[in-house]
Amino acid sequence: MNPSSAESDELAEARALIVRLLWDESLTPAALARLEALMLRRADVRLLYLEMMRLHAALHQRAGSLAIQPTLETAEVDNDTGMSDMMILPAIRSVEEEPEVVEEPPHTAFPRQPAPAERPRSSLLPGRRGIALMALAASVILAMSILLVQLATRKPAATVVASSDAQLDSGLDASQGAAVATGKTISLVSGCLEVKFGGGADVVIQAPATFSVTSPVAMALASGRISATAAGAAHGFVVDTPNARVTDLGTEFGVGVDSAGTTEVHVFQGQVKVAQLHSANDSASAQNPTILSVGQAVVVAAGIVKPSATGAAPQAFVRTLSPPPSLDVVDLICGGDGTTSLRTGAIDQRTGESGPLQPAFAMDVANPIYHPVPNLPVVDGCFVPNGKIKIDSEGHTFDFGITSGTSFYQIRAGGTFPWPRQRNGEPFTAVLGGVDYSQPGHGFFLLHPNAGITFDLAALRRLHPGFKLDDFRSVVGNTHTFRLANQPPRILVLVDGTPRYDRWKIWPKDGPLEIDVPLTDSDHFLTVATTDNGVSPRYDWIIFGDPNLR
Amino acid sequence: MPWPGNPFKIFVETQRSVAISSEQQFGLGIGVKMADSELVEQFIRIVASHEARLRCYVLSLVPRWADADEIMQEVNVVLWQKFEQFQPDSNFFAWACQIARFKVRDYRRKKSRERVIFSDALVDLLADECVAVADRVNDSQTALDSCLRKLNPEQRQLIALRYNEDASINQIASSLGRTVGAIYKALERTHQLLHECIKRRLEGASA
Repeated sequence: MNPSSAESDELAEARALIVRLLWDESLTPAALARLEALMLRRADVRLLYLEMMRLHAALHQRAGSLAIQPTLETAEVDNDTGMSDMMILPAIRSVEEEPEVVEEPPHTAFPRQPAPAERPRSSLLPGRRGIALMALAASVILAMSILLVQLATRKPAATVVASSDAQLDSGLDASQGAAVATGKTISLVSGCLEVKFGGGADVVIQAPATFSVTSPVAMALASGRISATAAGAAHGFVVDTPNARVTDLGTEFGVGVDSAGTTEVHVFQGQVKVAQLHSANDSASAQNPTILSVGQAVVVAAGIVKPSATGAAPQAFVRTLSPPPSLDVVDLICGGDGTTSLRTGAIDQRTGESGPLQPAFAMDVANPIYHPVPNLPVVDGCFVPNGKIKIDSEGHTFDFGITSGTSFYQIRAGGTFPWPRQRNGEPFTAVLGGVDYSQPGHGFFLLHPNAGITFDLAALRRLHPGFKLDDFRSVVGNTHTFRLANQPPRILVLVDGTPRYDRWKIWPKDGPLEIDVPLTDSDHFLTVATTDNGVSPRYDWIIFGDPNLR
Repeated sequence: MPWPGNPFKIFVETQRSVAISSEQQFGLGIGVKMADSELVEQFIRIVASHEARLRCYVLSLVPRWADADEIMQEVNVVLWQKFEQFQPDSNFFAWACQIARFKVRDYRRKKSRERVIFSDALVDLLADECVAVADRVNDSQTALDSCLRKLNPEQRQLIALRYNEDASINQIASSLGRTVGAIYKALERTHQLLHECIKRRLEGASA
């Protein structure tokens, strides 16, 4: 017997609700109640639901291999219906445009990330979610497989592959190749330790830290900081802290636990899943996981997973014990660790605030003082030079002489940023000697007088164990091209309060100048500053091109 | 009779003289005593061969993919822990579904109300009826290959945007210059075509 019209209508209604459930994973309470009522009452609706979920699961399994562009197979004649594709009712064109009914997605800690504008929509490569889902699907079996193979072969779960002045408590062996005891609580008293897990993850542990290796694919961090790289087969690596479980979804990430048991999680590449734990051994209570993507960070404390407004902080984690050949100073100002080529960052020399700041132009400074830059661990601080002033957190001072005490624009690093304009209306330029330092492959920072920035060289050495700081190099010049007669600016580079480069006047016609300031192992703070020599900061577009530390 | 070559039994019978357990040695704390690599492969093979079906089963009871994923991780751990109890001549999928059902119940109990989509009564009904549907998920995947080819390019694009690219409805509507309502209508039609196509093929295979 054919179903009645009312029954058919209900079935169609149920199908529409199920599709919405599949795609949004949320329905209004009324819609959900309606779907549930239909399913409770009608076995055929339940069957429809179950078969649609089976289709949903099958499509998820195929994620990453679903071609977007039509293929030659498109013209295949449907053996079931006798119709070719061209005869099948077009999905979109024939649909009458209806008023939009947009259901609000459920609130989450992080909004859905917009699709990258440059993503090739016709890509046949697995999509972001496809990769993540496949990794999730495989992670448990993969982890189990690795675990059991380790058991069978009795290999250590983790091995030291590198160390930098690492000292473990109880005289434990921290030399290269040493096995790390499983299940034993270990304290790293000083230095850094790089450990390779049997499952493939590489973990760098920074002192002071207390941790244990729990299996070839997992560790526990009671306090301190670690960074983990879990590539390829290492996906699924787990870090448990006193209040959170961090699970790799194919990524590089950092985890920190402070003395109060607060957990920080920072994602440098890929994604991780963060779930709260009610107790250290309570895997079943890992609830409400949050998926973090590259550049994001959270703090887990007092039962709350709170997103970090400043995002991931690569400067806070040692990520490798292999020293880089040089450090990109522009990247440091933008929040990177000197190796990530970040561009577009800013520091307000009046406050120490950093990040994507709104442009501020004529800036009067009534009482210039030294300001720490809390969000950038390798930038000790900043200031507006005027007279004798403190220039680093150890209290070194320098007398810059009388300046106008004002600034124009923040300390800006690029790439590009909202350009200020010259007096004749021409926009700012980052071109020196025919080289545009705003273009890819280059970098620069703008230090329009009066401004000063101090880098913490000791923090850089801690961030990059084994890295030897020999000198600070940069091109410097005034890019203003409509120079009126005026007093030109002064440029200084100081180390621990003592000038190592001091040029009193720099004109646009001087073109690019090369700075090479030697550094020694005992140097702690590097300060770069510009002043207007007491006249006016106008027309002083001082940029440092391709600045680097070697 | 327990699973032949059960790693626990093998350990007891053949490794008794080795008075060291890998649990002691490695501190894994999951009750593993000793694992023979061949037997480990057997376990992984049987779990892997049922992974898609079991995931479909769990997904049907907690429709959110992330929830199903959480539960699957717990289920896999329990499967391993209880592997000793599994009777090799019995139905692994049915046994695994029982474990999954308990885990779904636990999960629903722990979750806040807004994360629970269906009532207990409906979940119980679905759990009973789901086994037979989920049991054919592998056949369904095979049929899906053919059925996807029967979609027109726009329908295929919709599916790929959703499952490859994780695009939201709003993003798809925006990128295609259509209203959200129109996209939903198109999706209903696309899912209906795939559903009916797969159903025909499964019925044909069963005939």
